[in-house]
Amino acid sequence: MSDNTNIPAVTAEGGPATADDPRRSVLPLVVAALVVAIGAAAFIGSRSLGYWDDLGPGPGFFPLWLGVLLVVLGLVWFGQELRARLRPELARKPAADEEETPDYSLPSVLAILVSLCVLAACLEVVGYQVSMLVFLLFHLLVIGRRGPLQSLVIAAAGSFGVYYAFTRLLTVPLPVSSIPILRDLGL
Amino acid sequence: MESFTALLDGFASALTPQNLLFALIGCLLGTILGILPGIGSTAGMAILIPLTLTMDPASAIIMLAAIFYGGAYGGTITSVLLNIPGEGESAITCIDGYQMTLRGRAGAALATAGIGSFIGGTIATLALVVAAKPLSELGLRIGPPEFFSLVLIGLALLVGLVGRSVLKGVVSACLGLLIAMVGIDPVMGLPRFTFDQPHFFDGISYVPVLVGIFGLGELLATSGGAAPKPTAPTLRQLLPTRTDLRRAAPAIGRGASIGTVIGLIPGVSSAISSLLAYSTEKKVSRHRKELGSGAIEGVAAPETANNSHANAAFIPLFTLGIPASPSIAVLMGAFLQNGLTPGPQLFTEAPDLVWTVIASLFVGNLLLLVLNVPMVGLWTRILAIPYSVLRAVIFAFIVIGSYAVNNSVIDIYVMVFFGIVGFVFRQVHLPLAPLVLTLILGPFIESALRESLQISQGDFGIFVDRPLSLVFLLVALAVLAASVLSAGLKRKAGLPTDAEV
Repeated sequence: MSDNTNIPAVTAEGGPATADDPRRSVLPLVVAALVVAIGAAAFIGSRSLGYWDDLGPGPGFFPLWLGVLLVVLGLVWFGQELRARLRPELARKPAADEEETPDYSLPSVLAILVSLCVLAACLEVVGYQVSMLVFLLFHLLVIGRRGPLQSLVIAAAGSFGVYYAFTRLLTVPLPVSSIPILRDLGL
Repeated sequence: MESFTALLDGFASALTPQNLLFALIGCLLGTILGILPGIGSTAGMAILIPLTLTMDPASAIIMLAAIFYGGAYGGTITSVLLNIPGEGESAITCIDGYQMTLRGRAGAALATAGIGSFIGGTIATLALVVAAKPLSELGLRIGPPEFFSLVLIGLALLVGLVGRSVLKGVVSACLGLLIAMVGIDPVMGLPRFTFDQPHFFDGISYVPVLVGIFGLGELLATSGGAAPKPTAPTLRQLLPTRTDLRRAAPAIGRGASIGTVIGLIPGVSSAISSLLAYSTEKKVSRHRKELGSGAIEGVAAPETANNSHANAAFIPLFTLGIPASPSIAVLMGAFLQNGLTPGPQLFTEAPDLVWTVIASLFVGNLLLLVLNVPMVGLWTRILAIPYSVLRAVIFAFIVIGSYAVNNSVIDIYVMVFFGIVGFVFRQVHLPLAPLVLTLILGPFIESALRESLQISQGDFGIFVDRPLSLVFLLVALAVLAASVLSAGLKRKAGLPTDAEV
């Protein structure tokens, strides 16, 4: 730490995002376009809701102007991003370069998202206990590469243990299986 | 005086074994969440809201509030020992705190931070006690137009001060408002943007949204990096020396005043208080030359400031119904979830609850001091748990937390969706704080705007005809204009971003 005026980074290691990274340089454009699309959708959707009625502004009033604002802001942002790419020497140095984004790995992100969706889909079919057991084992054994015994203990605690604690002690219901045989087993 | 009698009653119920226990659990949980990478106290509070539904409202809010300020202390621990700010406001503490650790003085730094936090928190809570009644009476006189304009100030400050791009801040705020539009419209009772799903008639619950954005989003964004490995610190001397205390005392005093005053302003995050306190020390401290190389003032001032800020932030929430920061917004969500609307009416509708919560702030600050300072050694061991194990356990909790709000699997998908949103926001540097604030305040903002226009029969002049509203609007405009103009300056100052709130 020779330079004490710098605020330490949130991620000490993780490689900072650079403008050269194609993955990151396209993303802001896509997001800006999405903002425009969301604004347009809000605008169109709000037109059927009633903009003004006898009492004053109707249910569609607020979303309509939000939509307009989002379209305009999204377009300005898109323009800024585009200009920064086409004429890099003219554009102001974007703030993004100074901030570091924590490093992520796309395979891990996808694995997490898919596994969460599969878990959500299974919850009401095979019940919380079985689906969470499998989910945790997948994350500990496959993604985390932990030892089998440790994984099994943690996964059992997170599935059967948590189920017991929540349903019995905290009276928060968790899903049970909709398959009769499994339900009869207490799952 | 009336306030103090009410406060004494508050103490009586805050000190019941049950409430004391929940304050204790909250402090411990908050500290753990503050230490853990990938999940802050904001997400932690959001996850735990569903679990508090079966609890008594006072206990629930006491516990969640304790998580909130416990989290700030947890963030301090990692800042001092590992040079990693768990929470945004601890970033400044890293500078001198970590230097102190390198010199084998980690114990003194943490103890001073604990003492400073306690003093700062107590002073701010005293200010809350004194200001609560008069401010809430003022708050009661505020009509819909004034409320709307006041919220705009908060948003302008949040967008202008915290984020680096005003444009992105406004985009984020608009998206939050749009999400808040889903459900039955608050004035006419017509369903809007519900995608014909009965589940969304009540609106999108903010718990899965917050859990997704702050919890899952952060976990996704950090999925590639290995967790930092802590080196077990040697806490040779936990107690600060007499010299330490003498040097820290004025810094604590200055930090407490700065935090209390700044905390009052809606929309300003506690990172600003820490930063201001630190730069004040750089100007006025007698040992200002040592700052940056492990001076005790560099830990005492920002830590005191951020904790007094955190406690002072309850003042606008309780008196005006405006949450000052994302974490307070989540806490406001907990009030709403328990059927209580924070604001000036709360003092007349549920005085017992308000004063119990206020009294518990004193209790919680004391608990943090007595518990956490001696337990530092234990806390650091939590960081030794392998990240993959922690992450798996956190996944389980965010799934349960999202499911339990409405006992609905749809909310898990909502959480996953907003996890992606939070992840993308982090990648393109869209600030998250404006979205959270408008998400929670959305229905109030819209009602205020529409009620104002109904009063004036559609004339927008109502916002400038009423003097107070006009003043608020001008302030909001000035803040926005100033932040657009000073965008470059701000970047130079290196203000911490809010991505880690």
